[in-house]
Amino acid sequence: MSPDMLAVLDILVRIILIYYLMMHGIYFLLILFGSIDQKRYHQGIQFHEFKRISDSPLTPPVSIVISAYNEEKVIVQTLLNVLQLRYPQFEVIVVNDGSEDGTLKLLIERFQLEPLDKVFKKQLPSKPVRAVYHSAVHKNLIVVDKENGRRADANNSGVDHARYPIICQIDADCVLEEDALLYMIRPFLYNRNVVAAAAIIRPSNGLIVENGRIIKRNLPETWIPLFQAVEYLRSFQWARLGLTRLKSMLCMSGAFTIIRKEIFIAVGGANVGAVVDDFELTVTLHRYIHEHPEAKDFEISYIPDPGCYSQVPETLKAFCSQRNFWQRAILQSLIWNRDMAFNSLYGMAGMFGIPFYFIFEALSALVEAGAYIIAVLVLFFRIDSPAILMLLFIFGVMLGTLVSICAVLLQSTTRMRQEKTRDLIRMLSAGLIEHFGFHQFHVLCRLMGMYDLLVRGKLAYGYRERTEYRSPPVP
Amino acid sequence: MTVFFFIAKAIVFLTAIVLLLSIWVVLFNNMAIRREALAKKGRSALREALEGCLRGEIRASAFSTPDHGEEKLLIGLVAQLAEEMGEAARKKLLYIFETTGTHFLVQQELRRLSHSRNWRRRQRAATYLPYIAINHVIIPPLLRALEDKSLMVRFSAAHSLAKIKAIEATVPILEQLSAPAQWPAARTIEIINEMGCEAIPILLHYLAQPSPKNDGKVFAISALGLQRARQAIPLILAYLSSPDKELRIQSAKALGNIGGLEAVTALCDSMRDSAWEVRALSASSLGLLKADRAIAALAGALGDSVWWVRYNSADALAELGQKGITALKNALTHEDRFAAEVSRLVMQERSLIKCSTVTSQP
Repeated sequence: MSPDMLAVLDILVRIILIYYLMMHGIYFLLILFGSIDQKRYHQGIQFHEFKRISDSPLTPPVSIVISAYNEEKVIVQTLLNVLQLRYPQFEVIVVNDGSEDGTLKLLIERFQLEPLDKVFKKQLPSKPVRAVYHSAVHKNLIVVDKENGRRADANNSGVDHARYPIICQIDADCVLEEDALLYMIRPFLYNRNVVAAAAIIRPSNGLIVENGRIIKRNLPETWIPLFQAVEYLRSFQWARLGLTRLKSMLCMSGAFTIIRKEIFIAVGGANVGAVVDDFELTVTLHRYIHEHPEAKDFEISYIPDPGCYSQVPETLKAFCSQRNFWQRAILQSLIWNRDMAFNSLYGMAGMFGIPFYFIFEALSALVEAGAYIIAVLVLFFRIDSPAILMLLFIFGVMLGTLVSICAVLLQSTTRMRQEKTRDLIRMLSAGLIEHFGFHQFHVLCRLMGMYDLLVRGKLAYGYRERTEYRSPPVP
Repeated sequence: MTVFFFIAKAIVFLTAIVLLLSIWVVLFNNMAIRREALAKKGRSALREALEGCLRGEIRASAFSTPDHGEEKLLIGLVAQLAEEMGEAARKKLLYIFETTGTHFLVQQELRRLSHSRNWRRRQRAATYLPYIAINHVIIPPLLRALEDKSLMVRFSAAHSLAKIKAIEATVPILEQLSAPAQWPAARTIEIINEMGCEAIPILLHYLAQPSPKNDGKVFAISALGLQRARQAIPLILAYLSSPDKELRIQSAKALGNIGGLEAVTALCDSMRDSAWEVRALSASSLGLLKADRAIAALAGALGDSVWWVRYNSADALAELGQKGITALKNALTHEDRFAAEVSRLVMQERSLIKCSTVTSQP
């Protein structure tokens, strides 16, 4: 290899090392911020506060919107779970987004649905509605049957049919804790400026659910969901909480979000042209807050209480498809909103949030792939290989492992620690070995996502699988 | 590259420490689980003893003082039991603090409420004092805490005062918790409502005053509505025509909650209010009052420009019984499409008619 090439390689290695250091360093700080905020949150909860909220006739009513596309395996349990929530007044709107399986039939039979001439004001873009049903047994349940248009479209339709001033969006594969809505509404009760809130989401793969009630909260049994449990812990429990403190949290997960209806409508609802609506909606909210003087005090809140459990992929194929999808979503939204980057008009979201997500989320797969290619080149050309390889390993793999383990350890200091030592060991082990193979596969899936968006212009989700919830063993 | 090697060494060192720490955390977690199981046992034993005291099986004087460090646990348990078993249990549990060696805890919490620099400690003291100390001891410090610089402390103090029905705190609460613009009114109304019917005369007097702040009046009217205070109707009727929109909204709502038929005419007039919120709430209230003479006003509002007014009017008509339902049926063929649609929707929701067509978007 020529000296020039060697010099270029040397510079590239330095850039990658700095990148790794900054990325993991920022994540480490976010995790620390998150843990401090979580402690504050729990200290701030007053004695019998949630009971008081639940009993109050003045607690604002909530419309829960569930978008469902081919969800026959889980929809009944999800709906039973939601209908049993402890909350004074709420309605449930299931939007059947043109399912091709038996979702609608199942709903009609199980909840005794009857057609309804529902009149609604169409304020948001969505595909035509075919029929609206209401339940003869649950007066607060309606089902909107519409043509297929993906989740954003279904959510918009659900919000159009919603009566109440606060909207809670959940995915059809989510299971909520009985008090989840009470946790979510709390920041709205104490601060008029809170316009939206998101919460911690955990994998539901180990849950045991019976008639919509969570019986046991186990960890996933297999390794692939367990790796994701560590990742969710790192990102949902800690990093997003830290980002919220910095007013830079750009992704309220669509799996469980609560938002004021007027704001949802004011920002034009969920973007039906986006790969996935949640990231784009959050960025749009930040944009709205900073572009409208009357909205300058509005806040997005993050609740560090585990209120929602969502299914994570159990096979590599499904995992790859999901991460490909997420990568496309982030990249698309960041490209659309590139004018916000380093723009002081958008406050911390513009000066830190957008650049952070672009450099360390959207581009990380590219940089990491670059690191692996350099490692191969170094090996191939036998250039000072042990030293450079060791540096790349330490900065890329060891530092990532360090952050994962710290996230698991920090959780042990909170009231959300693992109830069994065996589970703690499993989580630590997952954090330890995640970076040896699984993480590299994750990088590959995200690279494919970049290719799919930028070259093929793909928007659709791709391969997806659903499994039924685990039931308690028959005695 | 020297810097990178130096950082790499630090990372390796840190990783080694974190791995060792992991082993310690696993062991610690194991111990913590065992300790928690023991604490659970202790908590159960303490709870059983307290329940024994409440049932009269154990004399309060025989109740053993908790070990040092268990005070927090005792206070928490007492509060929990009082919440679960009601007011009578709370008063009995107070007696335990009076007669046993645990009264020092009261002094400790009172000191914290007045002097602690940490607002969370002050808030905690304000929250738990009603469960461990008698009223005349805690009312003055809690009243002072209503002026605390932390809103959360003020809020907890107000809740505690409401819990012990300290009606002399009604006006200070109205004044202190109506101040911040960000503070949602509903929280203060809940607290005033918690005071119970004993606070009604004070609220009436407050409303009759010529110049209190409108924010306070809004809370007072709403609380009177939740208390269903019939004697408040004449006063509230006067506020139904106030220039302040928020006062009119809460008055319309409160009149429906109270349920006096003397409000029907005024509420029918409010169906022509310029603010849609007042019209919508007046319609709901008329539905609650169930007076046939409201039918004309409600039927007229089926064509209102705001969906909520139309819907509440239709819903109120359905509440009025057969005559109201007849008015809704007549509206099904109304030339005003909005009136016909909302009438059909409400009748279908109440299973009064079946869906005739598959829904299409307007």
